Amino acid sequence: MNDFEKFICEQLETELQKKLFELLAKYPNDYEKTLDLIIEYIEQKK
Amino acid sequence: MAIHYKSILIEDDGIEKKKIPNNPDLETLENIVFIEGPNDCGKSTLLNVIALSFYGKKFSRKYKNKFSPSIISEFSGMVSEDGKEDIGFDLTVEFQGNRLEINKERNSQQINRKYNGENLIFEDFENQFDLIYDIPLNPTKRLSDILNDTKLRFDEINQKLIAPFELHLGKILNLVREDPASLKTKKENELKSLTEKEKTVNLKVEKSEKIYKDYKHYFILNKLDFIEDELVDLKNKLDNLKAKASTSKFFTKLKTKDLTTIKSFDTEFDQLIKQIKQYVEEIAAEDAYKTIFGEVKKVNRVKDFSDNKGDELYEKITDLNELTWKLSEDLVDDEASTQVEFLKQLKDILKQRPIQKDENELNNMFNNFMEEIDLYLKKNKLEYSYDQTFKGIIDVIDEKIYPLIEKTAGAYQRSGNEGESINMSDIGIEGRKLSLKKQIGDYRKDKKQLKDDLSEFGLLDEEKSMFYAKIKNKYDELSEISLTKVENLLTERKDSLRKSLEEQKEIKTSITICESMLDELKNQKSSKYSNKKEALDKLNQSFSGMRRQVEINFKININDIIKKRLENPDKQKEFSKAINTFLAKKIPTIEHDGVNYQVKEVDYIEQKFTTDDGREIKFKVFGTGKSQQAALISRLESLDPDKKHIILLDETSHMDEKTIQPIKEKLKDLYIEEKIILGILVKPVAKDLKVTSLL
Repeated sequence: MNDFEKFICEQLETELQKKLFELLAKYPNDYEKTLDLIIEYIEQKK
Repeated sequence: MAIHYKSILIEDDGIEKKKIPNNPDLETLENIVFIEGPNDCGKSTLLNVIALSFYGKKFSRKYKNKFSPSIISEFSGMVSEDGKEDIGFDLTVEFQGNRLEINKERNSQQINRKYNGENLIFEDFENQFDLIYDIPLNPTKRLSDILNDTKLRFDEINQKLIAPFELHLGKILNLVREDPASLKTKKENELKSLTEKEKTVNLKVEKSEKIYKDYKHYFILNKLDFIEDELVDLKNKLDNLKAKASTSKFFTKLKTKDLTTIKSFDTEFDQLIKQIKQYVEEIAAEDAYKTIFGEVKKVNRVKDFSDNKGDELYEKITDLNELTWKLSEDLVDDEASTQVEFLKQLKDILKQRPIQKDENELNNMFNNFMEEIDLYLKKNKLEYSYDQTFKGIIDVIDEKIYPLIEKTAGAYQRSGNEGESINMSDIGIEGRKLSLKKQIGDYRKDKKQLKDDLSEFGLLDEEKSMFYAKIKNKYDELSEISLTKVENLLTERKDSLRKSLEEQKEIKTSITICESMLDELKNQKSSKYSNKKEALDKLNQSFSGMRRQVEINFKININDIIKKRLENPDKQKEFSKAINTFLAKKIPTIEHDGVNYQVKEVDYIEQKFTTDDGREIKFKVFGTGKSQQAALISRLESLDPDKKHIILLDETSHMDEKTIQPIKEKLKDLYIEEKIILGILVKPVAKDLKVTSLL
């Protein structure tokens, strides 16, 4: 993540939002991978 | 004169390709010069060309840390990878008995360099020469640029990361919530309707292109006719004046400042009248003003200043002022105008309100109210713009024309007292000649540009008059209107073409999305996410919150910080603190009175820097540019002794004359000491271009 993305990430309200933004920034063109990983994250946290 | 330079810049905005030649007044220069001039007069292009001649495209990569990001972005804009912007140039620098020649052809990235006639490869060139290209920015100005840029970057993040994911998530939610077979039918119908719509839009684009091309062709030919007529008229006037004037020998007896005032009067006055005429055209009141403009034109300015202290001109301008006040009272409804101003401000305030979560009803109410305001503004905009235009005319008269007449009358009077041998009318005639020459020069430049633009249309198949008749017959709105109105209509057509092209692009994107969904649906019985509904709903909810924050709340917070006023200090405290640290990372060091300080925190609201040694430096100390002067001088004093330098200093607008003088002297000294071969100092001013040798 670049400085600006890090800044946005830090300002988000929940851990889930932070994790999602981190994945979006990490895989900017692979939405399927982002979606799979975030669902996995949600289910683990259940 | 030792710098010779020529360039042609190409700009392609997707609709037309523009060729922009260099400013002829900057083709030959001394080695150390101070250039003052308005925006778009080619000053920065010259600096960028010199920088490009040094590093080519390597400029933005290998030397990334050598220059500020704003310089790199300006520069890289001149030669884009997609070829939409390109430049060709020839640059020769003669210095201390040597000759450095550098050129670049258009459509090529290759930079060719020769030193005293021998080819010079980049590595050897780099070992012998160095470039310092700086914009001595006020760091506080950069902060506001960063904050404004941050606002735009939230949009960028939205477009690049959030919006595409939203689309993907929406698609998956649809698949999970709906049966694939019925969704497929729905999408097939959607694709069908989009394809139909695309056909209509394609026709619309084709039609818009045709109309725009016709308008442009018609405008260029008309404008060229107009310029030809004006050139004949101006040349006749100039010849008449040439026969009259004969007295440059007297000028030395006058004070230089007064002589400049007298000589530049015509140019400045004509420019101001032109400005008023543009306002008059905006409100279509040419007829009402026609007589008064004629009266102003008729005044024998030189005689009036010599014999009447400019009283006649003053009276005519007062008539012009009174007419404006009268029309403004007749045409503008003051109450409506005040309401428009109030509502515009109210709308701005409402836009900044914090968005309440889970308060859809309240938010809807706000939105409806803003829509109502928009409707009202639309209805009353005409009234409002009338009011603004009249104010514009009155401001030009009160703040510019009256002082100009008074200043010139004073100069004539003082010069007249210098002795009877000075022939005042000849000096005035010199000024008039200068003004005419400038107008002729401007028209010639326009003519060259228009002829270049005309080349895309080829030769006319018929007589020009036939072509005019044909176009007027085809487009009613073009018959019997002034050239300015034709130009306005041309701009409208260009906008309309741009809109149609955008619409076309949007439909193409929607079709691609629809087709990709159908592809996925083709063999799909059920989505792999069908048993993940609960997680998807949770994600969707969280994602909406995130989108709202990035899209709306963060931008509101940034706006508040830019305005130096937090609406909800408690809620915005954390964000504001984070921004302070973020800004400090962007401007890690500041130079104050020649000393470098590490920045720990930037408090934009309180307008101060906190340094890592606990010092607090207020923004206002950077106002006069004194701090930047010390930094620049110190930089110029530590040049690499083994290299010859080129020094380019752009945008020194916040430095006053007293602050800039030591830098000018330093550049001259360094040239004499043979440490620099070329030095250019640039200051943007609203007046005409002026190049001063510092040697």
